[in-house]
Amino acid sequence: MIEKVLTNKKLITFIISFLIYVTLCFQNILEPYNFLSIILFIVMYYGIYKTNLNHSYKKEFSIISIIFSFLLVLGRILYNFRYDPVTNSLKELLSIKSLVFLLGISSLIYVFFSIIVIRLIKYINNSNNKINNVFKISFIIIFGIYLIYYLIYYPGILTGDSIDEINMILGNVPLNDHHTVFHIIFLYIPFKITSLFTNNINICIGAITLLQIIIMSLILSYTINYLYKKNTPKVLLIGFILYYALLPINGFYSITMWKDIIFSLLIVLLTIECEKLIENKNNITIKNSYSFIIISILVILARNNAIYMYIILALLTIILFRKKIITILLMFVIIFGTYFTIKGPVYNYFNIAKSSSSEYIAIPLQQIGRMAYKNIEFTDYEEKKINKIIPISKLKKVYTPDIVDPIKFDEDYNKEVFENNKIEYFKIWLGLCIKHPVVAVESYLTSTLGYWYPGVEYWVTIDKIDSNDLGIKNVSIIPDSIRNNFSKITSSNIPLVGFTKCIGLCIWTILLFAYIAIKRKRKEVLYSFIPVIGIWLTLLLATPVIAEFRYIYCAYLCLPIYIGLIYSK
Amino acid sequence: MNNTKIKNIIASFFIYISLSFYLNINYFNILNIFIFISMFILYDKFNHLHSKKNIPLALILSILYNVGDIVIKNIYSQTNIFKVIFSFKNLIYFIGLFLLIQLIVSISTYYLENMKVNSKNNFKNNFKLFLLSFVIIIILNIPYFMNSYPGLIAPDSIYQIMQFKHIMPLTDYHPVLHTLFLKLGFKIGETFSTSENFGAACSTIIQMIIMASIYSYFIVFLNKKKINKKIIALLIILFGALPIYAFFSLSMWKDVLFGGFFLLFVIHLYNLLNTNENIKIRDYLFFIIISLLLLLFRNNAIYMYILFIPFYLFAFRKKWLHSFISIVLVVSCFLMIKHPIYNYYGVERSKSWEYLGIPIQQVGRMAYKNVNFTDEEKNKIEKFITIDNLKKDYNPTFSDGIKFSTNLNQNYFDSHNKSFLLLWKDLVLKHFDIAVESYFVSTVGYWSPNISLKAVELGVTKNSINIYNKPLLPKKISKFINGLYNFHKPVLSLQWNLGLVIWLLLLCGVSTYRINKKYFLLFIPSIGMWLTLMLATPVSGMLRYIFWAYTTLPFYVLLPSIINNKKFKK
Repeated sequence: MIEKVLTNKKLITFIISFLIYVTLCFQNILEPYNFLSIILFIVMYYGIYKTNLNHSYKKEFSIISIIFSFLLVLGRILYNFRYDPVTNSLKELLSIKSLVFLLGISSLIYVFFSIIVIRLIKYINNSNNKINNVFKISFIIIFGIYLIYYLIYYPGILTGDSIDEINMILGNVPLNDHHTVFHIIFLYIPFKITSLFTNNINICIGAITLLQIIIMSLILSYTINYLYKKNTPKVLLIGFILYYALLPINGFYSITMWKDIIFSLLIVLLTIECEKLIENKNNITIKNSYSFIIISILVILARNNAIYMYIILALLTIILFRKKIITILLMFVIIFGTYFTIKGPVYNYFNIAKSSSSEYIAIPLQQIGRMAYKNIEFTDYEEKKINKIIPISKLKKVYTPDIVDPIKFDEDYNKEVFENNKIEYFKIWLGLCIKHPVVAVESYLTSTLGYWYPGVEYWVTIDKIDSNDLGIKNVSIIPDSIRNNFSKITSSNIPLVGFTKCIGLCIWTILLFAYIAIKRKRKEVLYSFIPVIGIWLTLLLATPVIAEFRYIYCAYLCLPIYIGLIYSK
Repeated sequence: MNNTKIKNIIASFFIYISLSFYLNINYFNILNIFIFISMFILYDKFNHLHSKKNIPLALILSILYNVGDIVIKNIYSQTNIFKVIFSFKNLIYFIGLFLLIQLIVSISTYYLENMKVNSKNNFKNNFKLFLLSFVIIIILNIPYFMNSYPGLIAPDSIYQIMQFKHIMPLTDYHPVLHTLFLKLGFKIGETFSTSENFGAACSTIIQMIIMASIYSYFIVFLNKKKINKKIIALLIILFGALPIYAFFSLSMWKDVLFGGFFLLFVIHLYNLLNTNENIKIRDYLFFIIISLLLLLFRNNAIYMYILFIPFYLFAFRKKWLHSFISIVLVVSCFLMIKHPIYNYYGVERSKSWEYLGIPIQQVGRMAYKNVNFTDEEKNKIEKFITIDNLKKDYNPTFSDGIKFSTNLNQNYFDSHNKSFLLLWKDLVLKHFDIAVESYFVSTVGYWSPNISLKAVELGVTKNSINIYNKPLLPKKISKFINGLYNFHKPVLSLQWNLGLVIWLLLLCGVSTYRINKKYFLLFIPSIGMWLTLMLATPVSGMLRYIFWAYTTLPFYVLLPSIINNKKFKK
């Protein structure tokens, strides 16, 4: 009887599609009363019935589906209850409802994998690329599209951070490394050159933006050209050009004055350099690795947390290229030596203030904040010590699950106390985490949610210049009405655009392609994934914001490289 | 990639945009991508079923869905819906919707027209099947009954009880025959107990028994037509356990028994069509009785019947004399009961302006949307109700808001129907867009499958005659049963979607017409009932008004198969 049931494909299909349908309804994704939703149920049934679910990847797909599904269920609970001081997320996770969701979503993912991923694994690259002027064509298209953004938002998009940097260039505030000196120099050069010809600050800003657009278009075109040389299928190349050119986020970021944009572009170059290193693995010399060394130095200077990613990259490089250990070690000596020389003696010489350590304690701060928010009982000692940094009553009030800034920038927050007693506070934090592991884990997962759960909607782009005293303002000749309407292209309400803003989905896609690379016997490609994965890991360790898109923008820019390399000949 | 594949991808992309909009799915949601993939699979696999003959129907349904959706979203807004309807954005949604509905229509009509659910091994003994089906339905109804004891009693039913208890005068507003039917239950109850609740329970039980018998009769009919055993078994369970059927069997509304009689009427009509040459007197007699029951259980049924008569006479033209006589008998009996007999017993007539629901709503919406009435119009309107009160009392989904408002000069309205209609005519011509919009709003539930208005009256309405809800089940079970009436339960919630049921009848009607035009006669009563609602419904979407569509739906769905079955046998 049981065997009969288990081999009844129609019944099994019905159960799977029903589970999926029920999950989608209960998660308010589908409206059960709307009859169109039942159409989806029927389609699902039919689609699943026609799909071969009993294939050679079934074990692996099952495991991956369950993992992804678990992340979706867990993420949804954390996201929905993040502003709820009472609910215990763990209890919610262990409820029957969550189990049904888990089954429903994992079935859905499994079916999706069985339809799509199998095809991706088995895809054969038969294309014979013969395209002339790939670099030029790519550049014209990408630069042309970005120029539209430039004209509409001239002289560019600037936030408070960018205004701070311009103030440093103008000498209005002392130089510090918070926004990285590297980026300030990047802004300084075109700014100063332009200011030789004009006093109009908007033209100077416009020159910086234009330079950024040119650099971005050049690097992305170089990427396309590199993939072309690697015999990536033509259809993918066209897709990548369109991806870089038409994705509204790329357009907006090309004209936004953030260090993250240049940093992400450097990561693109580093990714390509990693791939080149693999290509030359038997013939690595300092001479043929100079571009790797230069780009590495630029990367670690471009953003403060990049050094942690780079340490991971360095360790793995040493292990992978152990046959050329001397050369490799020498390379890293040059890289780290330059880095520490600049960050140490050079910065000291120029009196450049370092960024504060409290920049890196976002997660512990959020964890203790959540403990206060959830009314856990602190001991007198803990209370006394925490009160010295910020009064617990205040901590409870200002704690915001999405971002650490309300704590960090609260008037009562005293970072000096922490800076002077790091070890003591580390012990207090560790003790609290051991005593209240559920809240600590819940807080950690909530603080990093956007980077592993594809359901967190957070701001991605802005379309204006923040108010400032420097006279920097939008002076585009394009009417406001057109500009306002154009800004809507990043709205989540536009089909497909919504996905492009989802960090979690991008990370999942990268992980999925990493799996596909292994299955296609292209494991060596995974080495080039390390820079982005490293950045992602540093965010998982110390992100101050639940889902700050620009922090991980490099993942979006590198995604075509991974796909291109996996399918190259 | 060939051209068809590209076309399919483009089509599925439009459908995906449209579906995401209509299902309110955020484009940011990762699961959203599955819709696109599902749609592509659907489009790719079933593309071959596309047929040009389905385009008009698909176009009509798409317009209904699209306009209905806009109407529902703007019921309480000041927006001009035509601006939304004719916007570019809506055009994009419409394209996707049309492609999807065209596909759905093609698939469903294909399957309906080619459906063969017959079986050779049917139940041998029809009487036993009747009993078995009856017992199962009753057993499945019992938990509902115990939960709802003594029944589901809405305000209308309380008025009816008060009428036969002589607390209120007997009126024809609630059909007298139904009031008498309720009285019968209470009279039987009185012989055993003095409790009013017990009397109400007896009425409910009698209704349950009648409904279970009608459903069982239908089951036997299907068995005789060699419908597959599994479908028969499924239908028995559905009639007994599906909340819509179970709750309605316990609801003290005229619409329930009317729904049952309607099913009998349609089945009998089918039998008459099949025995065209050999119709016996007893067949006519049954036809007359069932027709009278229909006419006497709902006041608007007479309009349906008027529409039905010419079709009936034409269909049975070979036996025109008998047919004609049967109709004459039905009409004369009906008129006799409605006039001399009702007069004799002093039954109050329902007011003629009961049927002015839609015009009243149209004028109400004009006030609601602040149209500029001229002084003359204002003066005329204010003789009935002040503009401010009209605006205040206007309820877009329910004309009783104005009709039964204490602010309305009822006597004046009663005696000046014609002047109101003249005023209405002038206003409609002047503010045609709002008049049409109001018409859409007032009828939307009967043609658009998305509005969710109250369908079941759980419990007993507060009253002064000592009838109250007293569940005989533990609270948890009771909560579960009441929870079945819910618009958010996957699959189950669709049963409350009255617009969808109308659409299904339409699809069945089209399929039946394509198979054999003769049988389209069976849809005329339904069309008639639907038209009466479209002309004079007081509520935008009241499920009980179309309960007849629910009782007959299984019949209509299986009709193409029954016809095919017959063809096959020949």
